[in-house]
Amino acid sequence: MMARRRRRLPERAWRPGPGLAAAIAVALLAAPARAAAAPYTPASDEEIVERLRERPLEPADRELRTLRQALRAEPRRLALAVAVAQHCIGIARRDGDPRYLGYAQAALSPWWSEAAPPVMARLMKATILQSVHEFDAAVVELDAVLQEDPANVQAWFTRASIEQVRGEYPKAERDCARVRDLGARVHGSACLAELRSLSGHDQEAEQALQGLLRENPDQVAWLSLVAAELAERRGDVRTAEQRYRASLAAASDAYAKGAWADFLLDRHRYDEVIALLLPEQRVDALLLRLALAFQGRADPRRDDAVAALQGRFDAARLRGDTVHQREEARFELHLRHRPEVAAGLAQRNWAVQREPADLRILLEAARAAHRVDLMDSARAFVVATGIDDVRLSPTAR
Amino acid sequence: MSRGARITAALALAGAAVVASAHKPSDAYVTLAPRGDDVTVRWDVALRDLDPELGLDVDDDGTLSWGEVRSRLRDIEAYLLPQMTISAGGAACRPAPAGGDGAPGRVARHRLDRHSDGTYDAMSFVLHCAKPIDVLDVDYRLFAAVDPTHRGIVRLDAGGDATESAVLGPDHPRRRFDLRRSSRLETLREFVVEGIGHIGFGFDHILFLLSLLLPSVLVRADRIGSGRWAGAPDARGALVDVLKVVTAFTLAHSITLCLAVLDVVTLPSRLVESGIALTVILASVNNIRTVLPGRRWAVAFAFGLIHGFGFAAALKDVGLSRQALALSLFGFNLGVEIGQLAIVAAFFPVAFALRHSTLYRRVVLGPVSMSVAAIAGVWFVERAFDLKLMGFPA
Repeated sequence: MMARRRRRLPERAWRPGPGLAAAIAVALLAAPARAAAAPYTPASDEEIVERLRERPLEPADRELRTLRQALRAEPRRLALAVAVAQHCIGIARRDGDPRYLGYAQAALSPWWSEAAPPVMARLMKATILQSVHEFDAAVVELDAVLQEDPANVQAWFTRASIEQVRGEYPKAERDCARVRDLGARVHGSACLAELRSLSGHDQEAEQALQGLLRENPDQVAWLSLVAAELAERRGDVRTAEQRYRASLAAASDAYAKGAWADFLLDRHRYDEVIALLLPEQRVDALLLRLALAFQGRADPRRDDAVAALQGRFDAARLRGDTVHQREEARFELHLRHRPEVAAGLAQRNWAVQREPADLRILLEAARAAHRVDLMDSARAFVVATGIDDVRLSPTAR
Repeated sequence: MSRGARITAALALAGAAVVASAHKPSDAYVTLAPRGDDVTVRWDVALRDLDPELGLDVDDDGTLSWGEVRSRLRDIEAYLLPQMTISAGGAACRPAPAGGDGAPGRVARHRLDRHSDGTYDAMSFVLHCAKPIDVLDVDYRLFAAVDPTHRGIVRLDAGGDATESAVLGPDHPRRRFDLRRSSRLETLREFVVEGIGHIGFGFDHILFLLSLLLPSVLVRADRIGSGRWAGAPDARGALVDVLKVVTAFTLAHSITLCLAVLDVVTLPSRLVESGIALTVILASVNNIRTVLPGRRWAVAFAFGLIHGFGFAAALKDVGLSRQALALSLFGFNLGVEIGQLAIVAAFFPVAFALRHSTLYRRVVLGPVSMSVAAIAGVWFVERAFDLKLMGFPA
């Protein structure tokens, strides 16, 4: 569910024009539940029955309203539809609210089922599909975009990002090299550095990232995040913490908060996790970390958080969603203490995505459930990629 | 598209109250409870989803008061009701006239309910169907234009344990609930009947079984296999013999029935059908002159394996539901056993009574076995060479 961190190209790297500089991998955070109790009738008209937003309207929200109104009048105006979709994807990422991905898809509906939609519509569609972990379908769209427009940097970059999530590092490296060669140098180089690190070449990756950070202070949020994760995999705790803090100080989304919370949980710094995530409970990947922190310090609020998470996973299953399997595996293993269930979820998740976090839960669940077959799959991946991560057990490395 | 998911029990309110609402894709929850010609509907739609369509938040302060919702209930109904059509027997069911807690222009009672992602308008109303409700068709289009990822999670509550559910959305907006086959007991009954019918009208299986059982009430007069028989001394020995044969046959055909239905082993039907005919020929000829080695229960077992493939073909023709595979397999097999026992129950007392008579040994055993072999011979030729020689259902 909490998909890979956003990967966005700066506007200058965009070929179709500035309007299209939307998010790519959106942190998709669905988390439903049927926490229905008994129906009731409020006592008075003044009673507040629903809070529609947690923050005051921001300029982006107001702009989206205007755009959607315009689009209702002219639903087939491509530029308008793409602008609406971009705004929606941006808000979905900012708030972790998957409803906005539905609105984005609705904006693109005149082209959604077309065999050969315009490149811009197709790229947006690929982004939405990627956000809901429909990786195969997203790659089909991206391949089609690149067929028509081989110099489309964003399409190369998005495809690289999917390949990286799937653990297909050689493919991802080829695509990242195209991104760099087509002029998006910082993005291409950072993406290559991250892949080098994931393939076990930490030293080389570290140097490249340090260079990029020095030269591009404006990109500190995501470059620091990449560098922080690298340092954490190497076991360089102090550097990792500095970099997480630098990244979050510049900007933060659900992905970054989740990664930082995991870092803190591994160090039993539960109070910091609670302070960070108490206001973020709508996003279930973050509620999961909050529940783990509650459990870590024997906080009585743990049980409510677990019940709420269970409700959300149940509701997701009702509608047939499978984007939450990584989180659900952690939930089952660490909060419900059901290793067999966790191993099954981790295995199904592993078939879809293979980031370090997926590898870690696969190994943890496999070990707890004594699933030798899964341990073997994990080890095979470690050997094939050369990935090195101190958080994995010595048996796997 | 049906996902067969079962709506889980409501969570403790405590969870929802202490922990903030989730961010989730948009869902609405529909429960349909048919009773007689009426369907009671409960439809929960998120206020968060209704607001952008109807502008509920008049003062645009980001919160909804009950007054803001209550004053628009008529508009909410007018917006929602056309988005879902429920019909029985091809005729759309209409809101029953008495409804809407007495408010003018409304058909539903509205309350609020909390779900994991916030507050929903919980609307209940009764639909009246002109035709009897054997089959209920649901056509669900809510929010199809504004949010294609919206899903209507529809649960049919047909009383007792009989619940079924479906997840409907723009790509798969329709679902048919068949109330006649909604219960598991009903499925079981249906397949038991199929099993009984198959053995009852499957003359090849009956003749095979009878050919094997004919000698059960007899014992060999000599031990050389010349075909001379005498009546069995007591019922006990004869019954044990029948039991062995029937059990071996049952065990064998159950094994191949399961293997074939689960597609572990598949054989071409021509081979199976002509093989079955061949087993009937051999079993009946064996009563006249010993052609098969081993005891009859062993023969019953070996040949039963072939009959199992025949049962599997029949079961597959009936159509198996994947969800109720084990149940239908069990039911069908049970039906076959019941049919078999009925045949044995009809055959055994008569045969046992006649066992000492010359009639039984001279007329029944010899000529009857001969005729059976002849009929089976025709079947064999028909089935093996795909010819039509006689109009006999087999």
